[in-house]
Amino acid sequence: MQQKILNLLPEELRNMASDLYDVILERSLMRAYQNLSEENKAKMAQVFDSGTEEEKIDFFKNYLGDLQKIMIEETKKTAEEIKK
Amino acid sequence: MPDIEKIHEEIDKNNAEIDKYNAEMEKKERERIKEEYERLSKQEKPTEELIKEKKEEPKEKKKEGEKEKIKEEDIIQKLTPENVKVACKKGKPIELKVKITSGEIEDGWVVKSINPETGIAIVLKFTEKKGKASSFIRKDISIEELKEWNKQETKEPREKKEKTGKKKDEQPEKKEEKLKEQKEKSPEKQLDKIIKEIGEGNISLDKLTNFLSIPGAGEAISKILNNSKFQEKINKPETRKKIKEYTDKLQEFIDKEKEGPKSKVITKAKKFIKEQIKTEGEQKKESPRKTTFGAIGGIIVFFLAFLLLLGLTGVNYLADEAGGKKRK
Repeated sequence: MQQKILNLLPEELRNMASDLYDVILERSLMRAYQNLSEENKAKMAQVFDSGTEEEKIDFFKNYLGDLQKIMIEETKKTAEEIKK
Repeated sequence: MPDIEKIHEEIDKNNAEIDKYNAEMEKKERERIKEEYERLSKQEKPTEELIKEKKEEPKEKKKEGEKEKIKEEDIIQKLTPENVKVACKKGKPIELKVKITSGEIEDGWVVKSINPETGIAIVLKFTEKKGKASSFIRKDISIEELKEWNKQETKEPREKKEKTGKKKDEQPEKKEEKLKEQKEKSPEKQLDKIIKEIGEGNISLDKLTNFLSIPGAGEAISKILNNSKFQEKINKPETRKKIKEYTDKLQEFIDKEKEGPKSKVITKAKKFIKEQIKTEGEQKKESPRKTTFGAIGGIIVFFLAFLLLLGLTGVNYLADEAGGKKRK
């Protein structure tokens, strides 16, 4: 569905969607990371450095559960910034 | 300038050809479905199995409620690719209820086939309007949804009706109200309302993001973007100019963001999420991970689509962006 919608957009905007998504995702992850305790920050570094796929998914579920909410907020913020 | 005019003429010509081609394809598809439906309907002869089934029916009639419940449970159990195939071959396609765009669960649909790999069923409904040729509505729906709709309808409403002792047609006003309410809640209606509000300058980003998170929002946006008039509007020179201004701004923003310092752990986490979304897209299966990663991507992409939509539906979103003049 996402791809279908993207394909209906003008080419120049379609090409940018992926880059913009990257920016929003990175900003959101950074915010979620900053909310973690020092102990969990270290754990995250260890999991994403050498952990298994399951461990990574578990980390998201257990410590970054509000990522979706943060992403919506960051999208709004990004839209506001582009407006300026 | 004359060159640009020529290009636009060419674009208009191409669009007209595409519209014509789409209309032809749609007509052909309708004819094909109609033929298939008629073929299935004609096969409605009692087979030996059906005669046997009838003979085996107990003489004592069961209570109405029990009978209906069993019938609905049968439908749910029968919804397998093999059973659907057999039923169609017998000329007795499985009839069931389907949730239509307004949100109402409607009787009289038949299952044509179920894809065993994706679990998606093709359901058809015959429609006939006065003075118009008969046609068929086709929907592609997952078996889980079909089961849910056919389960829900049996238990609650019928039991309630029996308890109150009121007949179906006794409260047409309430039914109408309910229908109206359901229609108002449909994603298409909500989207219409939002677009109208945007035009009046009353929409908030919160409302938009809330809309984008409801099921069916993507389909509603897709329908609008797919509309030939909308596509025509996109190709107009003034719109293309606005899009160009908007995308230039976006690109500038993205480039600036990319230049910033990067954290190793964040880069790895981001890479992992993107890989997960990609895998989900390839597998096309429901999984708990989908809600963790895929939905996030979906919301953002829908949001982007909507940003464009705002600017092209008379909202002047893009114009406001470019000109720095914001509507009240």
